Amino acid sequence: MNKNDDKIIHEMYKNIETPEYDVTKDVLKRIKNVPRKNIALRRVLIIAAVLCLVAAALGAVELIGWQSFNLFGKRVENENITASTPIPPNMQNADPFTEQDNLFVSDSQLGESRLVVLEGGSGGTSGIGSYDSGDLNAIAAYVNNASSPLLLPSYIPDGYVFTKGKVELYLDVKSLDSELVSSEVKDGKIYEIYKLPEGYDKKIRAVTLNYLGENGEKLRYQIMLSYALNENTAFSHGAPESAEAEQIKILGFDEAIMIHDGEKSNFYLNIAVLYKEIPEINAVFSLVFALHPSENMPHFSEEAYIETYSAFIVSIKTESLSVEELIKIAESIN
Amino acid sequence: MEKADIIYDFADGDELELEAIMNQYSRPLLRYCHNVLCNYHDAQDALQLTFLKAYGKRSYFKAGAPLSPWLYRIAYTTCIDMMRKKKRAFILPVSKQQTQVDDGYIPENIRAALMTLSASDRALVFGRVMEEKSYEELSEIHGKSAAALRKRYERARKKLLTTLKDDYPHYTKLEESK
Repeated sequence: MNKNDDKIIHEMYKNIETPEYDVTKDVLKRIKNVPRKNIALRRVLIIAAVLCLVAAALGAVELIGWQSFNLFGKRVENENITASTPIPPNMQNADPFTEQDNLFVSDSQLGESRLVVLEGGSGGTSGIGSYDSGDLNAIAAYVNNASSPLLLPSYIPDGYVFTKGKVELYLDVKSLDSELVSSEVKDGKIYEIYKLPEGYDKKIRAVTLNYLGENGEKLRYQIMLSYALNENTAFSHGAPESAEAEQIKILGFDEAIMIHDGEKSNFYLNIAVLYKEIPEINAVFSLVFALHPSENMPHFSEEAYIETYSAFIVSIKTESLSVEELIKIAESIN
Repeated sequence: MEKADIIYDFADGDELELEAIMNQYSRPLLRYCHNVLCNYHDAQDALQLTFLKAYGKRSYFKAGAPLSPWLYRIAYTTCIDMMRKKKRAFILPVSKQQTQVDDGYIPENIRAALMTLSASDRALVFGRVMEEKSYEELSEIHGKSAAALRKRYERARKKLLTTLKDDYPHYTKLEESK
């Protein structure tokens, strides 16, 4: 590469002035529920400020902050919590995908749920392990053994080889009685590990199967529990906003959409999104707020942390298959 | 709040996390959008939309994954969509078109050179030259393979230089004297 060429381009960009712009105010204004959340935020900040003042005055921030709330606990980094039901081999948490859609990753292992809760209960996150395997039969056996309503395709076009799959789980209402194994407070956050109740590993939320064609073309099949089909569903499953969508008919499904990417960028040439209603399933929407109800978050009532799935959605993404082949895969789901 | 914490909390976060992310990323993303759109006011709009989309879709963000490529991907698609809408607007009668105002922040000769490239190529060249992103990183942002982007970058760079070399003759002479 010619260094002078680079210098010319560098110098060109240096001549472009981009003034400062405070985007924060404009963005927050445009978020609909700013007033309610700002009140919550203000309360948290006030409480935090008062706590800090009191703690600073007494010179014992950690003791007062945490001992009185009985939150001392040793963090168990690598504790191997055995699940109550047999778990197939090849359990891994490494995410084999580079795409960012629909794959929740956490450092949780199967058999446990790890929570991180912000001090004051104003936020947090939780995760449970997933079952990952490079063996399609093992994935299929896992799904069958769980008696899940989620279905896998029996047809995949010639030349495609299964590479990796993932089974993700949900927590049902029984998980609200999960046993606390450890708790630690660090840097304004509470880290907790819960042992999940028996049968948790039969509650499948989503299954993802990945295939590669002879020339490295990607094919992904994903089926997941859902509570509704709306106009954004297809696009929240990875379709770019520039894509065009059309309704199609697939036997056995209540609704089907075929999405074509006008740009034909990688992996989004054609996507089929299928929707089917199933008997209702109640799942815990947020274990964080279910186990840490907070006065600062009154909108997280008991009803709010339970959600009901009444359908499943399938998305089949490909960067090379024709619409006809996609429909054949869709029709083989059983 | 530490960077790692912001990223970890974002998927389940609220305005607090969003604000922290805006403080961290608004400056580089604004420059990125400005250089792609070649219009400062459009870049401000694109930046707002980028953060609004990121906030609206935060539940799809993988906790623990790097945030930067995800935000850049959103900014990139937002800019491309805005350019498409502008193109469509030019089909409208002149009276209904929005007047294209020169923002004054890009010298005219540079604007002319940049406008010889597509918005996608402008994003690619800026990402590669000024942000020193690898082709793998750019691949995540553009949704295309690293090999394809490498070829596109070489073509775009050549095209840009053809226009620019007249404006930077001292560099050309330096090269010739070697």
